[in-house]
Amino acid sequence: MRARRGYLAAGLAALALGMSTGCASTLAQKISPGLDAVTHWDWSPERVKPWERDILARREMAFDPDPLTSTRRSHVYFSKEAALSAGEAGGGGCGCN
Amino acid sequence: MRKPSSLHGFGRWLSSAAAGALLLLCAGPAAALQVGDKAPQFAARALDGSESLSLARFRGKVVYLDFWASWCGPCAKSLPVLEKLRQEFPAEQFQVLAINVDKDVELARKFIKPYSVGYPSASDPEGRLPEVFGIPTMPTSFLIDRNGVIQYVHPGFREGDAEELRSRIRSLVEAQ
Repeated sequence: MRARRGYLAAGLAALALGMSTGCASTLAQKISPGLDAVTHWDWSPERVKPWERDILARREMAFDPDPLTSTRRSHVYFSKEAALSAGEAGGGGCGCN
Repeated sequence: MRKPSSLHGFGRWLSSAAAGALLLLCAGPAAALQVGDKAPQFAARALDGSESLSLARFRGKVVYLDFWASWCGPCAKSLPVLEKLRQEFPAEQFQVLAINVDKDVELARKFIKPYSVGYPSASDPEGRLPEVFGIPTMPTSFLIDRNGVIQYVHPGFREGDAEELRSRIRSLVEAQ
C-alpha cells in the first residue's frame, strides 16, 4: 500500500518536474486535452437548493412519474409470469399470486 | 527506525491537500437566519412588475415574509390562509409580504391569479433572497417584529398551522 502511494507520488512529481522543464512537452501535448477536461470540470458537489427545484419538482421529473400505472403494470406482470418484477422485493416464491 | 522519505512526505502533503479541498467543496450554503436575527433589508421587483417592493417600506409593522413558488404544493395551501390572516389584523399594524422564487415569472402570475390575494408579492427568479435568508425548505416564512427582528421561522406549511401563526402574529401585533 505504502509502495503504491510512493509510486503515485513519484509519478506526479516526475510529471510536474517534466512539464515545468519542458522535457515532457510531447507528453504534455498528448495529455493536455485530458488535463483540460479535469481542470475545467465542475467538481463541486452542487446540491439543488430548496428554492431551485422548479422543473425538478414536476411530476414528470420523478423517478416514478406515475405510481398508479407502475403498480398496475407490476400487477399484470406478476399475475402473468407468476414472479415478481425486477423492482419488487424478493418474496416467498409460492406462486400463489 | 526507518527515515521517512521525501516521497512519503509528498504523499502525506498530497492527501492533506486533497482532504482540505474536499472540505472546501463540501462546505454548505450560508447559515439560515434564526430567531433574534435582524431581517436583511432588500428591494425586489413586484411580481406584476408594477413597482419595487422593499422590507423597509413596511417598517413599524409586523411583517410576515413568505417565500413561495408555483411548483410548491404546500405553498398553494398557504396562500388562502395568509390572505385570511392579512384580513384579520389591521393593515397599519400587520403586513404579509410574499417573495416568489419561480424562474418563469409568468407561471407564478398565472398560479396566483385565482387566489386573488391582497398582499404584495415580489419576484426573485435568481433566488438571491432565499440564499440570503438561508431558507431550509419551501415554503418558509419569517415573522418579523416592528423592529425588524425575526421572531419566528416557519418552515413548510401544513393544515392546522394557521392557528399557531394567528396566535404568534397576535402577540406581536399587541406588543408595544
